[in-house]
Amino acid sequence: MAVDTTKWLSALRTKELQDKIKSAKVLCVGAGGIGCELLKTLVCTGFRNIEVVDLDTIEISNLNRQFLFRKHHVGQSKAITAAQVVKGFCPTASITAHHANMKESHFDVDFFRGFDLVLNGLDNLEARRHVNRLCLAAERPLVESGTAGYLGQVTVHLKGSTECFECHPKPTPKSFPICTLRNTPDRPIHTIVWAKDLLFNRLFGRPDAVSDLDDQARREDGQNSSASANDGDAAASAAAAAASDVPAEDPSFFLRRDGESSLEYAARVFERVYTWDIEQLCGVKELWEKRPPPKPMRLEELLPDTERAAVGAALETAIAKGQGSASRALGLNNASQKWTASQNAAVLLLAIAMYHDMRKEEVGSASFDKDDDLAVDFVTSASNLRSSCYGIPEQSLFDAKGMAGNIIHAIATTNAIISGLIVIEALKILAGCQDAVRNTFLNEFPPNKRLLLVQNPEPPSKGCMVCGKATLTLKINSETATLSSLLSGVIKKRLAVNTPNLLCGGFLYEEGEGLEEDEVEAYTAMLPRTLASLPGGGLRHGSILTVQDQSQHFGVDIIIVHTEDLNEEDAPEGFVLEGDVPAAPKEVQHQHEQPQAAAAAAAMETMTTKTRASAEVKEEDGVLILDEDEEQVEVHDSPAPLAAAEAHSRKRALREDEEYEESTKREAKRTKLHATVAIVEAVDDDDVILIEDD
Amino acid sequence: MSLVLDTLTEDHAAVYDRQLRVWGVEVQRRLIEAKVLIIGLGGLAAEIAKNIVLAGVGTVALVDDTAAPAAAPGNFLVEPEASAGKSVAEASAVTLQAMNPLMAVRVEPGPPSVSALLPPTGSQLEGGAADQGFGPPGEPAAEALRSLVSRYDTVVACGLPLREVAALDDLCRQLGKQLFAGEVRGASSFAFVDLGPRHTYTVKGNPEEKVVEYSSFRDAMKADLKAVNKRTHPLYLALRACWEFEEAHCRPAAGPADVAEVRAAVQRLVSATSAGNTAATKPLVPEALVEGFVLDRVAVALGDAKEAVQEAAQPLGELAPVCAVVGGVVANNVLRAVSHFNPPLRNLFCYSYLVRDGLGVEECF
Repeated sequence: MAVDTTKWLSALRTKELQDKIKSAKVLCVGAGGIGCELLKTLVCTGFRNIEVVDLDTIEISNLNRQFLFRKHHVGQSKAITAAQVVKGFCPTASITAHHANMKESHFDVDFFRGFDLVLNGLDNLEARRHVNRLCLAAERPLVESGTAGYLGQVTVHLKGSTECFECHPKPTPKSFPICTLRNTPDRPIHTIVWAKDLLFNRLFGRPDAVSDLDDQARREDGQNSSASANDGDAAASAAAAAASDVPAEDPSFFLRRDGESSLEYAARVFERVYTWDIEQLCGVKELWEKRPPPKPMRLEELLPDTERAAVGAALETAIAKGQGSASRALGLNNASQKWTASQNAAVLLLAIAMYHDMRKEEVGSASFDKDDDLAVDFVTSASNLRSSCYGIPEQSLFDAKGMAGNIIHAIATTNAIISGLIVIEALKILAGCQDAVRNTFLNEFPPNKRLLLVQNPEPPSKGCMVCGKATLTLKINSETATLSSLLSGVIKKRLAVNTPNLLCGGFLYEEGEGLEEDEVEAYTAMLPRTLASLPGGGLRHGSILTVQDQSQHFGVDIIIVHTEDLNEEDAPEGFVLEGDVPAAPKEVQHQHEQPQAAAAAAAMETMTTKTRASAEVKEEDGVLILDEDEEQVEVHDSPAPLAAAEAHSRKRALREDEEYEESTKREAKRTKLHATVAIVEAVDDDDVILIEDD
Repeated sequence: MSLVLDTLTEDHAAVYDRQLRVWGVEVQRRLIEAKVLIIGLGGLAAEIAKNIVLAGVGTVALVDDTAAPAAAPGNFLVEPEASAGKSVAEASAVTLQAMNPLMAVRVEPGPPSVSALLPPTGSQLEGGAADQGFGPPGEPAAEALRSLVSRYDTVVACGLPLREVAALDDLCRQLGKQLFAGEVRGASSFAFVDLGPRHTYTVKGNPEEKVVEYSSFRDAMKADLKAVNKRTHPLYLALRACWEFEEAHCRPAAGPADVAEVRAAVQRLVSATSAGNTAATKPLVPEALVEGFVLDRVAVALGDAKEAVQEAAQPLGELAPVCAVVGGVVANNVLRAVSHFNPPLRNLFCYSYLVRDGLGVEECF
């Protein structure tokens, strides 16, 4: 007999559950698009004890969906403002706001243990992973959510009974700090987003289209210089300083002047953006202490007079023939062939000139459309030129179009729907109806009429390196203990790890074969440093250190508890390690017959290779999916891996729905592996970019 | 005051930046030109109002003269301390206007007197006026409503008795207006959409205009039951049974005493469906669904204090998370309907946690 999945609803009529709702302590992580809606829905449902954490401040472009915020709130803390406004319509609610980064060390395991429920409305993968691990460590239920345009999803993570957030590798969506885009890009997507969202809008878009980005930059500067709380990185504040040192761009510079020909105008833009701006940035020394400075480009070198004349001729032909594409007008017909720097410069000049000569009426109001050839020409060439300055690999037109076109923007209604779905799952958990929790997917257009699809959560993945392993607590003085003593005393001696691989936020330490000489050197140099002074913010109170030994198929998480007064008696070795150390599992046999092992390996692969972030995406690509019904093998090799994975998950949810009548059969099939359960790994504040970005 | 703009102002562009990237300037302009009337301001209506105001619908009017502090337990737009002496529409309008100063929020005076469209109770007229759903012509309240509706493009009505939904729909059809009607009853909710006999829309990247026909609420409530099968959301039959009850008794089914009769009506409907005759292993319509759908109904303006709903043994009424979900779905479709961009829901959205864990389904009748 199937479990009664509606028991939580009858419980809702009882005073007992109503009281529980009133007294339950809820942690809302994020006060942005989902967070605002979530806080409202929680108090309207009767929740009264809420803490909310968000490090962001309010921006003008938030106002169309983060409905708790008004124009006069711009620049203020999201968490604090949201709490105040919610109390306005629900004075009996107690809402504690933290204007802080969730990863700060005082939000430790004990902090999480103080809550009955943890609800995520986050906008980045790193923070989601962090909260997932703390929820596992504190054994608190987590309801996770994400939205992307009209799509959204809610998933439930209960330690020991359902998958954790990291049971399956996640494609990594990206949102980028504005200072990275403006000053220190280091990947192709950075220059593409810059070309599309900053330069395109500045040249062809609404006159104020970049204003919110500029505002954001200004506020980021302020924030970072006053309290560099987030990652506390010197680089961040240096970048901030740089952004303010470089003279603010005067938008009027980018207007075409009277009597200026379209090509003269294009050349002036080129020189400003790729010569003058880059030279200015090079002058900000702090930015280039750890990375090579960009190299300015000179138009006269890239396009000598003869070639400039060829661009002019191409422009005349394009006008005469009514051609729509600048690259094809220059004879660049192969979309998968990368252009040379000179070709990029020619396409850029011609594209700008064609906008002005052939599509004048759009200048000032255009928005990027990936199906608009000229817009794609522009973004491809503009981003490639910037990539050349920074030594980043250039992209073909085809690739650039794919990257630029996959940016999904946030809207209000999706967040509202998702907040409702989060609270429904929260109610089920509070009612003690763990059997009733579901993962839900929201579609834009209903496939088969199903706008909302529900899916049973999977059991924890056996090979999961996050929830499948033990969590230990290490009491240690992080100010005096060194990495070397941690390795010898804890990792190798107590945990019997042979070739350790340590990972914590921005800190990575590896041993074993296959390391480059310079890597070994860098790692060795870290050994005498104290834990607190290690790179990436250090191993401090509340840090979760992931320890792995691939040769042993062994992994464990260690929560650091900074303790200064360790006495000789309790801690003769200088630390106290608490928790059950798991035995290293036996070598897994017959990998090809046991897909779990493959998934585990994949999970391990992605967990360990932070530096190879793209691996996460690639794992989704061409993934093998065992169909529940026919046991056929499908191969998904969509160029957009996230979309493929997500489509699969939705498809699976749909299939479950169709199978509903035969739930017993379904339960039996449940043990079968799904190589992937996708998450619309989405961002609500910043926009989501679905790409493969290596 | 005209909000019709040749181009979007800088303020619009800055605030609407993200959504402009989703639907473009032309759709945004159509939203700015749209006039939407919201009747009844409970929890579901508050969600819908918030969503369409944020999206930038140019004119949103509210009608509900229930006293604010006491009314609408789920309406988060009402700030209890600032709303003394105001109606729920007035108090909500203040918040909505602050949420988006770039559009106009209006309060239409008076009660949402849709009942004025109904034939007088007791005189069960057959055919004629009863079929049309209109009260005697010239009736002041009916005329007032008629003139009110005629000033807007789209009407959103939440929590009305089903007979009033039908009568309002008749009026909207007659005046060529779009209707969205919805209700949250505990864990179950439905939204009905009527965009008239000829709604046109385009989709992204294709200038070709598509045309769809919508049924009236009355027609949807008497659609051929042969079209109902085991994949149809059972809420349709529960809704239809409640409609039959209202038609017979001139009042909504509410409270334990009415459950048996609605249940019998459901049984009757089930047996007329194509799935009804087969020996189904499971009932087509779960008992709990019918019961909850009847018991959890509360009038929008309940008159209880906000905290009172938290008392046990009360009808669940408008469950806030369900309002959030359905309010989002309805608002998305209001935006599609008024902008004639993308296909709107056609014509019934069914959503219940008593059916398949909360599957949300579009049905067309």
